[in-house]
Amino acid sequence: MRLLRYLARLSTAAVLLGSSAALVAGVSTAASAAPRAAQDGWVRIAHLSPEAPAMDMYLYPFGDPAHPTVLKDVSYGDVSRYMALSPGQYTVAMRGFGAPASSHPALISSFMVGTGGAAYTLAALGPDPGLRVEVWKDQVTPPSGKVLIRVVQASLKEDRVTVSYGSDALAKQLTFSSVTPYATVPAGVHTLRMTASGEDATMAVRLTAGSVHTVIVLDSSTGLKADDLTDAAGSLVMPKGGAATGLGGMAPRPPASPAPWLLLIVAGMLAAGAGATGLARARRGGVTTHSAGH
Amino acid sequence: MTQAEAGAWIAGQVSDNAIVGCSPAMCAALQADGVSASQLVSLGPGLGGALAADVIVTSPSVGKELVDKYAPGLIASFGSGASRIEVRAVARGGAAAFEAAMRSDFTARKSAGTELLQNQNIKFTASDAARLRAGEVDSRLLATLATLSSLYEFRVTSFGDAAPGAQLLFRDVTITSYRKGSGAADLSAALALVNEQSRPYLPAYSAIVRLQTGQSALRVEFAEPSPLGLLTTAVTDER
Repeated sequence: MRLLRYLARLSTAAVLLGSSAALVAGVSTAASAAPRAAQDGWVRIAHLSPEAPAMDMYLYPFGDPAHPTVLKDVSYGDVSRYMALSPGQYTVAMRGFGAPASSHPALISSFMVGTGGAAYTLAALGPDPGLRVEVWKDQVTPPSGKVLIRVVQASLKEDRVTVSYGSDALAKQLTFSSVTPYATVPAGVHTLRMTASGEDATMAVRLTAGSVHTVIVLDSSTGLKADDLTDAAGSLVMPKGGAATGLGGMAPRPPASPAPWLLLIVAGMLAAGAGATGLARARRGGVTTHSAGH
Repeated sequence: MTQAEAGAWIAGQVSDNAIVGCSPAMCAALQADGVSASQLVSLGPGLGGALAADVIVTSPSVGKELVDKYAPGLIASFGSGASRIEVRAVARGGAAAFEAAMRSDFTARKSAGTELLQNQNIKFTASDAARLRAGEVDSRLLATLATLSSLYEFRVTSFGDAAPGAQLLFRDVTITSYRKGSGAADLSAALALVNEQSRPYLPAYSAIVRLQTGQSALRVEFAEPSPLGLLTTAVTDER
């Protein structure tokens, strides 16, 4: 069943990506699969509410609500690709998976996309009910020869989680929905360790010099798990580190398929062609992005 | 008289979720006006205890330096001279941070308001359009109007409820539907949507009202103080 769902998602994603040239050319939409102008901002969306069901997420430009950016079937732990959005104000509407676009969204929320290639993570957080949206500004300028990393605590099962990478402490007793500042750590392969009361999970993680990462601590059926997102890397094409972790990081992976890699390659080509910075563009094949009209 | 006027305004316009710092006499007046005692914090000499409040009520006897330090944001004022009473937002993060947040919020309101004018699902009068461009509309109203416009088509007939004696910031809007046939249903659905929200987007007041023209309208009003930063992006530490 899970495999069928995954395949259905991949199929949708591939179809949408196939039509992305039309999106880039732009029907007056605010979002595209590649940046149309250097001043566009970047936004990725994360579902980090363990108790909330799968959702469809809509980003409506204040000035053009007829053309929202829509992400379908976003489940706990899912993080979308970075999407290029025109600078400006947006409202966020979260609806249950499959709910019609004419239905009432769960809550009103608003955020602003800045100019100059600023990047943001927009996260649905909190218990359900009590869902809220938080926006974090992402680091998009990788430090030369260094690695920046931060931690988001999205486990509701554990009140406080301590996270380290190698010998570096990244987060101490981090509470749910908290995010740490970026910290500098050495490049290489080191152990990411998450500890909570009676819980100790580890994972070997490779971090490449000149890259920026966000580690998300998640609940799983067996305890804590982590997802490593590449926020930025120092090249125009998909960074190796990003590709290695970009399809789910340390989260349980779906069966191997060439389709996600194809998505990454095409997205990377689009980004390079448009002169994009080296942002990690795709992380998970399951979340589909498109623009919709009424 | 001024104290009574201020008391009535605070009781009607300040959020029932906000803690109000006041002198013992003013607190008693506010309680008489219906403000819950649990919302009131009595201020000591020199605004002692102000940081426990969200808004404070001051009189000229309180030094300007202390006001600037604890509560630089004027929300409303009543009277003049020795009887002047001011309602001010408390700056827990310090006056400098508060002023910066005010400027940022003002810029964001102007920008968001101007974007709303491009929205084909909302019609504005010329005077209301000018208010949007000038950043004089509360950010909660802007976000609410933008959200409603993704579902309904409507006309803003007026903005209202700017506080007396302070910088213009409208916290109240009245809208009518211009969709023929389904206007009443749209207004009712819009009312349900705004009432489903939680703070800070839950209005202090919302209802279907009848205009002097006989037309039905939806009125939505948010309470003071206006939160800062709703339109701007939360920024985490970058190195």
